Amino acid sequence: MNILTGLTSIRALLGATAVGLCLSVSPTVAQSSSTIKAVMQADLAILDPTFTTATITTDFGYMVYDTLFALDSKGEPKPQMVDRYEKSADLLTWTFTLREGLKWHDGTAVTAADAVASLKRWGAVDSLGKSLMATTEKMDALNDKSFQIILKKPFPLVLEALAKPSAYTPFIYQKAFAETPPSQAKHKVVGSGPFIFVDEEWRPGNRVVFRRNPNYVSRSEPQDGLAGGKVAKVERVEWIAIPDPNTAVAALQNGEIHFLDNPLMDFVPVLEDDPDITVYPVDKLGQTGMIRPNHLQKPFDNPKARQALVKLVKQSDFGAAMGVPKGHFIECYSYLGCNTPLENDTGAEAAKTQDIAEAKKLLAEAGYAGEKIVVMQPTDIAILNSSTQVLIQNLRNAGVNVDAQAMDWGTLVNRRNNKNTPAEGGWHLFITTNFTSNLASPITHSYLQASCDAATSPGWPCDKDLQALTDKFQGALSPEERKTTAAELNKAAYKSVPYASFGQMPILAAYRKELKGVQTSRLPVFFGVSLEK
Amino acid sequence: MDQVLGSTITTTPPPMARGRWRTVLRAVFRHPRIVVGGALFAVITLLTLLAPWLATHDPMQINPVERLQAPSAAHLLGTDGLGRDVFSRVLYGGRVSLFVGLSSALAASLAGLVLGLVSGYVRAIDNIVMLVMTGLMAIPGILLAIAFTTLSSASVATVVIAITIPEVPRTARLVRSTVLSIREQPYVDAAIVTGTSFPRLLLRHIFPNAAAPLIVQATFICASAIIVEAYLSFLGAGTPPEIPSWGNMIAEARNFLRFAVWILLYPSLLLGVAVLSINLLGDGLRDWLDPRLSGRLTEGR
Amino acid sequence: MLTYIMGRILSSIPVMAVIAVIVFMLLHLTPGDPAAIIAGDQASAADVERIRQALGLNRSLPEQFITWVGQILTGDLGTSIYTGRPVTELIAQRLEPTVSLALLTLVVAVLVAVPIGVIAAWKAGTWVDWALMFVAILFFSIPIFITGYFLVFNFSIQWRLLPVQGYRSFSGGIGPFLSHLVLPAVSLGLVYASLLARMSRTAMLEVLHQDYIRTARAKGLGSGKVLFIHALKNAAVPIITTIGTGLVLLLGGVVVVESVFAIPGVGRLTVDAVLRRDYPIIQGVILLFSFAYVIVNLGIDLSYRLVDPRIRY
Repeated sequence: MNILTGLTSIRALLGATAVGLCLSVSPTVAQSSSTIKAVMQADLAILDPTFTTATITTDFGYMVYDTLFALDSKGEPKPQMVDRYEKSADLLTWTFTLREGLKWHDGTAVTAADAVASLKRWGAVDSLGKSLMATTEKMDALNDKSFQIILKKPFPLVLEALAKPSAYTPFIYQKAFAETPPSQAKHKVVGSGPFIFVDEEWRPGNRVVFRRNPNYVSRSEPQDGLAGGKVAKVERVEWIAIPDPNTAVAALQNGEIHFLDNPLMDFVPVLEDDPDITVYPVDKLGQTGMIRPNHLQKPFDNPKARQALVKLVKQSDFGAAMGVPKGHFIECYSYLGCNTPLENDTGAEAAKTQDIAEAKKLLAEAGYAGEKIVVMQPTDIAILNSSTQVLIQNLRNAGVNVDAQAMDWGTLVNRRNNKNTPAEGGWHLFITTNFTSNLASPITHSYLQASCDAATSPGWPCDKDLQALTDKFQGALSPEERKTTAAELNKAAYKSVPYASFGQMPILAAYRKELKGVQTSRLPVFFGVSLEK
Repeated sequence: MDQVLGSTITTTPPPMARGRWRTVLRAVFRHPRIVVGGALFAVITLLTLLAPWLATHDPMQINPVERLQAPSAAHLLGTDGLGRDVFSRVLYGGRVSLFVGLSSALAASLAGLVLGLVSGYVRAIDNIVMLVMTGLMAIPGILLAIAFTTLSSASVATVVIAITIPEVPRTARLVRSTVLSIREQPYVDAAIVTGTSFPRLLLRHIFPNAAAPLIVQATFICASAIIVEAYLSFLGAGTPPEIPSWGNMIAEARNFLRFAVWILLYPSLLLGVAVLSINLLGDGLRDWLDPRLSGRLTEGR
Repeated sequence: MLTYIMGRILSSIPVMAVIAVIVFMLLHLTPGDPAAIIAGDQASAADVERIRQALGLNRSLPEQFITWVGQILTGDLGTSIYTGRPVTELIAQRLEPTVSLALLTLVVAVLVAVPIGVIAAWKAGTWVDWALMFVAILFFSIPIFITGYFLVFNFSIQWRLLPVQGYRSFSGGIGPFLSHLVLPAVSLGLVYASLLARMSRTAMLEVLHQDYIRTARAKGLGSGKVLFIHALKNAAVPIITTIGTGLVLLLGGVVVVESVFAIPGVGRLTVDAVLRRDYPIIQGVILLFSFAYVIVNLGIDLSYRLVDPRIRY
């Protein structure tokens, strides 16, 4: 009987899809030449970009939603939905006016009230958003098109916050939706971005379909990073799930897909050799690898044990194990990222040489005596899996009794929130990577926050001195002051070790020559990209 | 069968085969699959048993600087994606794979023996046991195994249990049908009537008859368990990644297939040869031990 | 005969009931609180409670079982925890590729394997038999995904003959439908065909030694005629039985093949569900596959009369 209901559902679905296609899309939809097929870095599961920091959900956000400001290719915030803004001389009153003609996918106009409600929703979860909200006296819509933020004291990163590109991007939602709490539950997606999500064709684990938003009013400036014009140049974009990395690369080489996000590092030389394929950095600064200890659990509640982690790491080993192609890997000893404005390696001299014996000594001084150390090992993400294996080996070399627990990344992300002892489902160590651009400012660098409050990133560092330096950035500092504070901060961080870095590497994607207009824009976006025969 | 093989054998007659040896050799050459399969399997088993002496490196030792090296004097079969020595891993990995294969075969045989005996002997619960077995047989083994392994923590024992469960119905049925057919023999009936004890009945009559088909079945379970272990690793539900097995070596190696084929080749080759040898052995044993079939075979031509 | 058919159909009901119990117990025999496992560590106590309510885990075991069976009987397999969609809908979306793949593999494998088994039996003991059976065991020994990668590398990347991955619906034309299924079906079919060929050989060997075959030969009937008309007809029953019981292997292999070739079928749905501990989906798929197996084998059982008129009900 379940087979029967199944068959009827199939028929119903096929019918619905066909009707949907006929009614809603221009006749060109049938031409496959106007459809970009892309394999993204993960399968889209959660549609609410304010519920999860999963990159794929942020990618989804940039397809269907729009932002008030956006970063250009130089990392400068530029108005996107905002037409013009004014700030008072005392930097306390900010007034924003939306562009004309912005419309939701359901045809209604985007209002200032939508923007205010969305910012409040975002401000409740994002670290930078929380800082902004904490300094905000009030935030109100003045009329349909304008809204105002009045601050208690100057906040140096207002525009940067509104243009934040990842790990909670302040996308603008419809007011009614913005007033619901962030959730993973499925909901109707109504955005105002250049593409429209085709809900009835969504097959979790298989395919996500977008169609061009014919009513999108683009800015007149040329596209520059995430800023400027966002012109959808193809009728459809399909995100296809190909879980097997071999198959995904083969599909790209065979022309079955046009775009492959985040190919396995080891495949990069193969792809670079293919004349039909271009490999490009999605983000200019790439990503930084981090070994995160749990600061609540012994022995890593003791800074000496955390310093031992730094002494265990030989960054080039990690780079090699991950298969990062030669010339793409940067050994980096700056907590604020390398190739960033605040890059510095103050206080990192000792970190540059691996010293297992010293690590052993530091661990002993921290009171470590052979207890089980739980390392969470994500087996489904290649670079994290191999770097975790190197970490495990290094720990064992230093006489640590490692309990390596294999799991998939999704399970790890859940489990890392568990503050209990490892015996009660908690953990000691895990490895992750973060956009280096997020590290570039102490304020956006969530893994550097050591405020001792429960809401910091998993690992929960607690170091008043380190946090004081981070907080110092909140005040409006001169560029010189920023530099000196950044140096102090790096020094303090190497003493406290909120996490141990294992190097900086690129975030790459590959596309076929038929695609034109692909830009390094922090995230793989499909506006401005056309498909030629 | 005799005729044909006989003709090949007579061209090169075994020189010193006399008496007892002659009988054994004759039996063996009548079933060359047993010889070939058994010899191959023995060689592989020996290689894995001697792993601590043969291995040139620590199979778990990561050495990122030397990753993806082609076979050379330093690394006989090259290195894998983390710079581990493939030769040493293949040897040690074989221990795990063969352990999984053999213990699954043993566990499934024992469980089948108990269930089959109980079911064949105690009529009252026969229907229920067989019904459960029929139901279990209908569930695709790989699905049952991945569901089981992901719900329990990853370990070799979990993998063995997950592989064993779907195999039990076949062994149980086999034992049961042997028991039933033996029960119908007049001499067994007589034995029961004269009050032969159950353990005695079991040892004297049932066990010898059930052993042959069970051993044959066990070889097939062993072979399939080694492959299923590879499938489970491929699906991310197999032996924990830090313990090398042929299965998870193959699963890990698949991403390097295009530029470092040796990482995939050697564990696959050994897995293939091991499974092949066990299957050959099983096929040969079946021909040899199954009196029905071999009887007809010799008679037929 | 009608009573026999009815009897067979009725007798498969307890089997399905047993399957339902096993699938049900699988969730409940797992250590720990399934609701907490499903909810994940991030979940609040309220989330766990909500899932416990949704799964009905707060009630007694028999009560839960009865409710669950009641749902199944009305065609309701529950709701996916991860996507929040009905399991029947999710399975229905994925059914076509899996059924197409399984059927195509089945047909091709039978067409290839049975003649091979027949020839091997006919030539039993010769090098032909040896070679054929060696190849059969060899292909049975190579994991499906290795065969798959090998085929993709040659047919798709080197020679550019066939697509690497994906699925095209039959409604979109037979050409793309077949071209997308060829490589997956061959990878899967080799294993299944190896099994079938070996079983066919065994079944044929038994028949070939029956008296009437020797009589037929003695009468001077042509080898082909004896083989394919007299012998195969009589070996049909065990061969068809193997085709039926081999379905379990086929359905298991589908899970692997769908992952390699990115075919959006039920197998991939299951693997994703297992990784996410989406229990209603796992239960639903195992139940569906097992019931399909029971029904197919019931059909096979009843069809014996067609191939072997000696069987009377």
